[in-house]
Amino acid sequence: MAWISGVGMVRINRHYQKGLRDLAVEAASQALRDAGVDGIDYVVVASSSSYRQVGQLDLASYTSSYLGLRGARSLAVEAGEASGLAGLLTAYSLVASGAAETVLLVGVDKLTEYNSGEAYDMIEGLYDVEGEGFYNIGHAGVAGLLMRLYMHEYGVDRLTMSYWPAVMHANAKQNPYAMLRFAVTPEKVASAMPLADPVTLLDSYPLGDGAAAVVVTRRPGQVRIVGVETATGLPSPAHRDDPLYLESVAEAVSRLGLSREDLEGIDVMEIHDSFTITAYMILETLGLSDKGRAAKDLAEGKYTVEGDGPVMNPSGGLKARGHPIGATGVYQLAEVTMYLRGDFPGVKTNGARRGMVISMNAMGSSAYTALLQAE
Amino acid sequence: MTLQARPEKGSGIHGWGAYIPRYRLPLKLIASTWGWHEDQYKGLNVREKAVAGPDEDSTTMGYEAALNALRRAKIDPSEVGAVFFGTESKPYAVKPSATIIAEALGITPVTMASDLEFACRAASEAMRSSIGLVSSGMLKYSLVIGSDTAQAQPGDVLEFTAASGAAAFILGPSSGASAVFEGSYTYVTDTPDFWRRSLQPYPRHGEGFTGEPAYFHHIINSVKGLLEELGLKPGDFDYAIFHQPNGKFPVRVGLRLGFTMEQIEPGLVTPMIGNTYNASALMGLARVLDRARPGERILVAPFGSGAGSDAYSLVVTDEIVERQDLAPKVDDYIARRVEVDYGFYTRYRGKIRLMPR
Repeated sequence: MAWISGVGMVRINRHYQKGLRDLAVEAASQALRDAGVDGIDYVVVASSSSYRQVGQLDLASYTSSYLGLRGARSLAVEAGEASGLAGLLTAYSLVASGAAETVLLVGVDKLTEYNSGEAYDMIEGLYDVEGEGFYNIGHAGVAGLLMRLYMHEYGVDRLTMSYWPAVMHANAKQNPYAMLRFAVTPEKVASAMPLADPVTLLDSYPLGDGAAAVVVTRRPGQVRIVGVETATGLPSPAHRDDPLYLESVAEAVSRLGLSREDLEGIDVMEIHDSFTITAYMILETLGLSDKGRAAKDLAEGKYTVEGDGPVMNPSGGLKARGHPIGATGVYQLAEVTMYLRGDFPGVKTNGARRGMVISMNAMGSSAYTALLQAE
Repeated sequence: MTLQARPEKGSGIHGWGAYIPRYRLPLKLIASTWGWHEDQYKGLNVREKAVAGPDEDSTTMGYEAALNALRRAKIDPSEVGAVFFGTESKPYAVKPSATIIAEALGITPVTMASDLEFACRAASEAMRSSIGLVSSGMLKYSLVIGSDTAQAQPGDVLEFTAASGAAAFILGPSSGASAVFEGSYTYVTDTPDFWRRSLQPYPRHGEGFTGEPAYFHHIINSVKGLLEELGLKPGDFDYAIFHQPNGKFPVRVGLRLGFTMEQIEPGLVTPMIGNTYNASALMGLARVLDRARPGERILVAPFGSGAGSDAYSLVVTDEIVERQDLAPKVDDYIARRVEVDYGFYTRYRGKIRLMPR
């Protein structure tokens, strides 16, 4: 059994004046204060771009030292965009196995150290470098192919597709930790600059720096980790029978023993919406929306606080809260913990008891999920 | 001699002048050439940019602007004791450009002359140095020129705004000046937001890094520093002019500092001609002097990448009235326009590399 006893987040932004360690320490210090613990057995650091962007290896030990946790056991976890939840799996395993009583999990990444071209080169590496990378298709290019297929297969027009970013921006506007705190209309999303037609600039996440931290402990508290699971998927959507179905996500969720009905009973979720199409693919893979229906469901108000279904991404999601690659999963965990505690300073999810995080890398090369419950 | 509390008060602008080449490249032609979506440039609030012709460079434009400044100053060129040329597009990497202009204007040989480099703020540094030179009595008149045929990598977002133009000022004693300095303030740090390394043809920039930590941070600090030293507030000024890399930054920084559109608009020239780099804010100052009335107070705050900003406060005197019509005005040059296409621009701005003969 394991609980999350403290959370900390730094607002995602272009933090020109803060290095990786400054960000990590800021978030970790908050989480440690929030948890009120002094003994940390392990420090787990989730980061995906630290070496590529800043040139730092063995980030975990340097972060621990910087935190003043002299002698703490430390290790780093890298699983691309899913690094944060891979870090949780590690922390949870250490606690559940009895190897540790309390683990500090810190997710941190910095994407704006150099020109955006450097960040995009790194993001290419999230995809199969001998597959998509060989063809130099680009992350937006993959999303573009899938979105085009989706719109064609299910007859959904561009404007209907555009509700996800509009809802995410509306949520992020209330989230003090979000990077993009302004509203956009579906019309603006649809007519924005194309990245890879039909994907526009406003279908994608911003480049930002950030750090988030959670304290995972054996000591019972307000929010219990019911389970953490993962599965790998085929490296490219092109290898799948249905490119729009995320088998790794489906498998990870089924390993938690959750049925579609169970999922519908979850109050709030943070899902991996790296692109508009990714969000819809997750909603349909989970069975919460019928195939081809996710965009229309959202346009009709589903997945919002006022509507039916689990509330999706009160934070604003990757789309608008931001997506500091390896840190994102830890943001999702910190947010869901706060929804369940009732102290999130943004969109209110009153009385939420069960919350879930869905994280993945690329278009599902791996998927991770965590189920949390208010005790 | 007792040093005045503010040496700036012993100096002023006697003559001012501008030059803008006649050719204009609409931004939409740059966008269509490179396949940019209109979102890429619409927000810049720049319609078209001024492009130097095949027989123009930063020295020829600087000469034209300086000639206009001399006409308004109504002085003999030989009375000028310093010629400072602020540019980041020198025709010669080594060999002064200031001497070319000084010679052409009849200022040589008994004069200081040098080129200054601080991205877009070199000419402003020349202005602050000249305040010291003339207010100390070391020399009577100083000629300050900001002139650029700004380079931008074809296809880079900088290409939308990198334009050509020049502005020049004759600084001298406060007595007889068209506008007298009240104070000046400089704020610089090592902030690598935009640069061009030796032997590279085009500058590089740090994208969003050029905004908040560079442009806004430095201008806000120089202006606040000046206002604090002088005990003035934004409402005390009739005009507020800022460096204008595009049409939106100067408006945003002005409003953030508490100025109004009525104060900012008269000095805003980039929307019509693009960013003339060393002439950018100074072109705005020239345009304001073209129309200012005696007693009005002007704030001008140039900025240069790398990074730094100066802020100046000027008060217009009665002398300005008879000088305003002694040379073509900024608006005359803005109105004198011939639209060109991207081919003209690449051919005459040297964007096409040819083999040596």
